[in-house]
Order: sequence, then C-alpha cells, then structure tokens
Amino acid sequence: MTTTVPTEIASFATSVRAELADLPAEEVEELTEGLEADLAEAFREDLARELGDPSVYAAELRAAAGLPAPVAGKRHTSVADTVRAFGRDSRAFVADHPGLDRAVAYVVSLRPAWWLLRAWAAWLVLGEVLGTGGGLGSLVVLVLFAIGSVALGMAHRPQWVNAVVIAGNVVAAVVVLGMAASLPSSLSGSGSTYDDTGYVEDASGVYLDGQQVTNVFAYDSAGQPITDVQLFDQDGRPLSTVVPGVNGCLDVNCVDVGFWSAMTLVTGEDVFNVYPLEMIEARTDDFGEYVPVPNAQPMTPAAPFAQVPALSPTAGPDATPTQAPTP
Amino acid sequence: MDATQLLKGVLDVAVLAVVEAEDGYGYDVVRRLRAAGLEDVGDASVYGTLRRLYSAGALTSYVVPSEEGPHRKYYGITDHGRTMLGHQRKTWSEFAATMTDLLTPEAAA
Repeated sequence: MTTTVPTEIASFATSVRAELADLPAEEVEELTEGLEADLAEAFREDLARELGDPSVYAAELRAAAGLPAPVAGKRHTSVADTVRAFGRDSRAFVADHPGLDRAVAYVVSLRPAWWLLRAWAAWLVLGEVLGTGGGLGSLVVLVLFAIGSVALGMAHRPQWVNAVVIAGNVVAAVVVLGMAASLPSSLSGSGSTYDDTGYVEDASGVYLDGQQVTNVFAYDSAGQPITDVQLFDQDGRPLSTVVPGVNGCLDVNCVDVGFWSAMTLVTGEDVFNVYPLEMIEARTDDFGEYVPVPNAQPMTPAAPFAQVPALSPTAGPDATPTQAPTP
Repeated sequence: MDATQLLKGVLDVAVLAVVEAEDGYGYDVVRRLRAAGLEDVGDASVYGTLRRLYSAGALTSYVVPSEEGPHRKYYGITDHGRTMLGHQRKTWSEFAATMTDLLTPEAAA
C-alpha cells in the first residue's frame, strides 16, 4: 500500500476545496476532511475509475450537504469572513456611488475627533483601574493621552501595530457607547435599572415541588376522569402549563414527540389552559427539525390514573361549602 | 424510471441505517451502501449527506489516524439520529407498502 497520496488526488482535492472557497473555511474543512484518504481508497478498489470534474464533484458535495450554491450574495458564518466580505463589499459600493464617496470622505475627515474621544475613553479606563478621581494630575494624563492618540492616528503604522490599534479602538468604542448609554439613566437618577428579571423567565410555567407541570388531569367527585376543564389562577389568569410551539413527550419514555395543541374558544381565541392538554404527533424532517405529522389528530397523553377514589359523601359541609348549597 | 432520482429521497435514511449498524468513515459508508445494492450512489453525495446529518445532530464524528497517512473521520449515530431513523423507517415502510399495493395489478384492481 502506498503511504503517500498520489499527486492527481491531491490536486483534485485542492480543486474541490477551491470550488467551495465561498463557504466559511471551517465548513470547507468539515466537508473535505479525509477527502484524500477516501479518494485514494476508492481508487485502489476501482482501478478503472477516473477523476471527474472537481466542480461537478464539489457541486454534488455541496448539494448533499444542504449548502447554498455559489451565487452572488454568498453566506458567511465565520465572523472574520463576514467582516472582511462586508468591508470589501461596502468599499466597492461606496466607490460606485459618488455621493456616498463624499459622505465617507467627510466622516473620514472627522477622525481627529475620534482620536480625542478614544483618548478620553482610555483615560476613563485608566481612572477606573487606578481608582483615581479628578485632580490636576489626572487632567495632565488626559492631555498626554490626547497627544499620543493623535500622533498614533497620523503615523504610518506597521501591520502588527495596526492590529493593536484596531483592538484598542474597539475597546474605546465600547467604553464611549457605554458612557453614552448610561447618560439617560444617570440623568433620571434611577439606579434600579437592573432588577431580578432574569429569574422570571426560569419560573415561567406551573411548578409543583420545583418540578415543571406539563399537563393537568381532572377527576370528578365520582373519581372519573373529566376532559375539557378550563383552569384559571387566583387572579383570573389562564393556568397554562406550556407555551405555544413547544414540544413535549407523547409517552413516558419520550420515544414519540408531539406539539401541544391549543383549544379554541367561541371567541376564536386559541388557549392552552384547557385540560388535559392534547398533543399532535411530531417527527423530524430532513433537516432534523420537528414538524407536525401531516393529518395527525390531536391526542391526549396517557392519564396517570384511569380513575381515582370518589369523594366521600359524608365529607364535612364546612370543608366543601360550595358543593352543598343550602336552600 | 431512474433509480438515482429515487435514491436522492432516501439517501438520508440509508446513510443513517448504515452508520447505525456500525460507525464508519466516508468511503466505508459508500462501500457498504454499494455492497447493499445501491451501486449508483455517488461518493460526494454520501460525504455531503454525512456532513448534513452531523450538522443536524444526528451523527457524531471523531478522527482516527490512518496507517496510510491522511487521517480518517469516522461517524457514529446519536440518540437524536436513532429517533430520526426510527421515524424515517416507519415513513418508508408505510410508503413502500402503499407503492407496492399501488403497483401490484391485483391489489390495484
């Protein structure tokens, strides 16, 4: 067996990768990882085989992977690729539009203002780190920062310095934006912008002993199951255990999955507080997303009990005053 | 009727079934599909399908160094993939039964 990949295979694989070059680099890597090894093995088994057109091969690979065809307006998922493509596209766009060109030239002419602004941002960060307040020394530092920032802006910089400056600019922009955003709240004098709303979302739904309730089964006084029970809480809010569009388990082992199905009121409103909630069976489509099974009828998930003990007829009248109305 | 057209619709379930039987790398899956009778299956289609099923969470992958040099990327089925396969198996057998009924003269009459 050969220990090296034949050159034809290597160049074929290179061509295939070139055909996919519009995709993010990591996607190309995932798609063509092991391609040489696979091709080499295929050739050893089938000596009559010929290397075809790499563009046809790449198109087949792309189509089967469900990736977009190479057209204008390509899709990029890598952030760096997106930023680069955006820079390229917008430069070309600006060059094609003289009015925009002048606008961009004007914005570029405002750069000295940015140099001062970022010096101020750097001074703020330094003040925060050192914990220094105002004072004359601090003002001197601000002036020095301003001079340095302008000098840096006007200088011709090597590539690596450029990278550091870009990173610094991003930090400065964040600080400046942060200051701008905090202005309204500092003006209004309210400090309690951040409350514990983060916990509210976690508690959405109905819980019993810390465990989420997904369905409710009602039984009448004789202990028989009843359906189509509308439930409300003490404030009259619909007692909904699920939110629309969420899926759940159809059976105990969660082999089959379904979507919760709404009931419709005479008002036309779809509600999720009618119990037991029904489900429509779902399955995964070609892309692994859950979709309702076509023509599936809503079904009620299995009740925990076929029936429960009936109420005792001698239950004290004080315990259930509404059940024994006195004439 | 062109069998390659039919194959397009069922390549996913075929690949899932092969990988469920045993983990495999790209060409290994191609070889097993061909050995099972799908002789016209294109290798690029299989590699692309493997990648898409992986993105959908139906497959996992791991890299194994090969004695012949370039490493091999193996795929294995996930629980999600098994669920998908289960649904697609059901869909297929229902569909196949329907088509068989439809195409069998006695049954159609």
